[in-house]
Amino acid sequence: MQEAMIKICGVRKVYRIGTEKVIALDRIDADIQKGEICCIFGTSGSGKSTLLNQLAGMEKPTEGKIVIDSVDITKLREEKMAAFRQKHIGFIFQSYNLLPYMTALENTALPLMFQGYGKKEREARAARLLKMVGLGERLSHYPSQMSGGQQQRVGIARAFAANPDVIFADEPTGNLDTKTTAQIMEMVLAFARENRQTIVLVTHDPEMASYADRILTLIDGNIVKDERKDKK
Amino acid sequence: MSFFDIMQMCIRNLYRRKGRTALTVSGVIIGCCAIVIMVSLGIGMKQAQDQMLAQMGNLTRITVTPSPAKDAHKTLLDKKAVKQMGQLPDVTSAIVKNTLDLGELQLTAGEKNRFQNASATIIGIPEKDLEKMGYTLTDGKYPKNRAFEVLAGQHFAYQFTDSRRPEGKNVVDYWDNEDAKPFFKAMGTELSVAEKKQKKTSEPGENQTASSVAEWKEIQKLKIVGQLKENYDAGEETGSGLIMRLSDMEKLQKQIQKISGQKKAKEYSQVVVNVKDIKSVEQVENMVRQMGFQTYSMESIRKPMEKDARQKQMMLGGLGAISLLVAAIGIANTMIMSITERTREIGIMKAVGCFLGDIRKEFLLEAAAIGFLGGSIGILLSYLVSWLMNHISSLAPGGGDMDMMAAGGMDMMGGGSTVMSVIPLWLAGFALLFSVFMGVAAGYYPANKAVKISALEAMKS
Repeated sequence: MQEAMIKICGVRKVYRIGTEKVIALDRIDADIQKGEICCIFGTSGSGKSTLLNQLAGMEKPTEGKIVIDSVDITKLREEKMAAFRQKHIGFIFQSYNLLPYMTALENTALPLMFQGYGKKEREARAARLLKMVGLGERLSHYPSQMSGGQQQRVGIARAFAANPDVIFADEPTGNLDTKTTAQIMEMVLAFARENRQTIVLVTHDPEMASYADRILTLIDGNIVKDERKDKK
Repeated sequence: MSFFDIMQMCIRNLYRRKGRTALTVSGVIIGCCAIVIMVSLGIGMKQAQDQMLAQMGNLTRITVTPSPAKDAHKTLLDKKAVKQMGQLPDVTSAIVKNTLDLGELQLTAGEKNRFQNASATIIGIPEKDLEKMGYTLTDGKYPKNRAFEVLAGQHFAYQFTDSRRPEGKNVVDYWDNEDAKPFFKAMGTELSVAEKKQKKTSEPGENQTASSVAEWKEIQKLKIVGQLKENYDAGEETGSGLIMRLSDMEKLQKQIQKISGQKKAKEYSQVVVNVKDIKSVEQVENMVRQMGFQTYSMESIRKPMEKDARQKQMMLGGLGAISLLVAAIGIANTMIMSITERTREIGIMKAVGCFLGDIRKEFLLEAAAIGFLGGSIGILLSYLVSWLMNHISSLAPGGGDMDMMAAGGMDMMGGGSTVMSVIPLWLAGFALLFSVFMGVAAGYYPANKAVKISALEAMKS
């Protein structure tokens, strides 16, 4: 059996609001394998967003450790974390989070630019990705000139631009209609399966959860259910 | 992230907020312009002052005269003292400049001692130092071969009265009439040092023409071999005086002493000490004073003027600095505003994997670019303003430079008019560098603030 892509060991996160302690994550243990499409499912307040933030290295857990691709990211300093994120992590956000003053092409190439790739190289790759998500005609459009679905497709292209090992998707279709949701999800899954990339999908929508291979259900900071779907 | 990408992003961000960038930049332009113009005024003032001082006399020259004390133990301004002065640090030369006391004797020229001069200034300078005095020969050469060859000042010939002309018409007035010709041409003339012997006459009516009946006893012939250009900087003897070799003068002195019964002078009347540079003048002057002599140099005038100029410069520079400080606050404010607006973008950049260092660099570069832009335009504007000021001040003749003209003295203003504002290259370079530096300094706090933005918080908004 190969080493898990993401290992979550006894992660606990406690926020201090004034004098009161709020336990967001009680104790989380889980392994996520390479190539797995894993859904973290829970209602609002269940701690699923907090868990995502810990996994993506945006916050440090109060206790426990998170190992991604054999690197303990809870021990990485901010600068190292940025470098790690560049190589290993992609993000898809609910609100797309594109830079408004950059074109679709530039937004897609952003992670590559941060890594120091030259303009030609990174934009060639970005253009290819945008064609794959069906935006080949809109390379030089700005986010404000595109629909939500189109913007999210740029977001997907950006997430895959640096060919990361893990992609975190936080309610990626929360702002989209059902038809577009299906398109977007199919697209993400197709990309991931092609390169055996791991997807961590965070949602409160059971419909969305059905796209995943595995569903971790979170209630009050604990994993209460871990179901696997049989692969076809 | 390559530097080129950071730069491109920075330009894009500045361009995105054109209005605000333009306003902030104009703040820097005004600040930079203010400081450059203020300092340039100071420099212009200093230059005018230096020019004026240079016209008033040689700044590195100390004139030494004997101590006025009468006691027997005082240090004499003699050969030994001159040698000592010449050996002081930073002294380039110590030159004897002795004045001959003609006593009752006169200088005469022309047929039968027709032209006479009883008050000529006669200066003796060692032969080897003659060429170091900074004289300019307009005609002839320096005395070289024969004894009693002399140099004449530019207006020397005008100092003579013509004994054959009636009172009131026997001098040439060259002060009021520059074109007036003297009675004779000085160059090549043979002069006599002569003693006037009044003939005893019994008729009282003949007193008026006494000179014509006077008899002359010639003591020494002098030959003018060179004529000098008047230059008060080198010494006033270049005007109406006569200059001879010190060795000749000493011989002449002996002859005069024989006739008049004067005692032999133990001291030189004057020694000129030339100093290497202005900075050492004060020090050398003090040392010479300690030797027991009286000194005079431009230092006593230059010092307070320089202090005054420095104070004014500081004040002007300070005024400029205040406006630049205001501009710096403007930059900081703009950057902070920009960060508040861009919180979300910064968060996205962080989440997508931008290095903190790159974010910081981007913001610092933006601030530096504002400084650079403002600085460059400010300098161009300063040159324009400076040119306008100089132009306008030269249109109104005299205007602000009146006092300097007066002090500069008469017709010696010759070399170039003074300007109000001078922007040397170093000032422009310094102002540009300072503007950029100020931009970076003002952007430092905002940049760090940007780096500290939590990606998480930023994304929620």
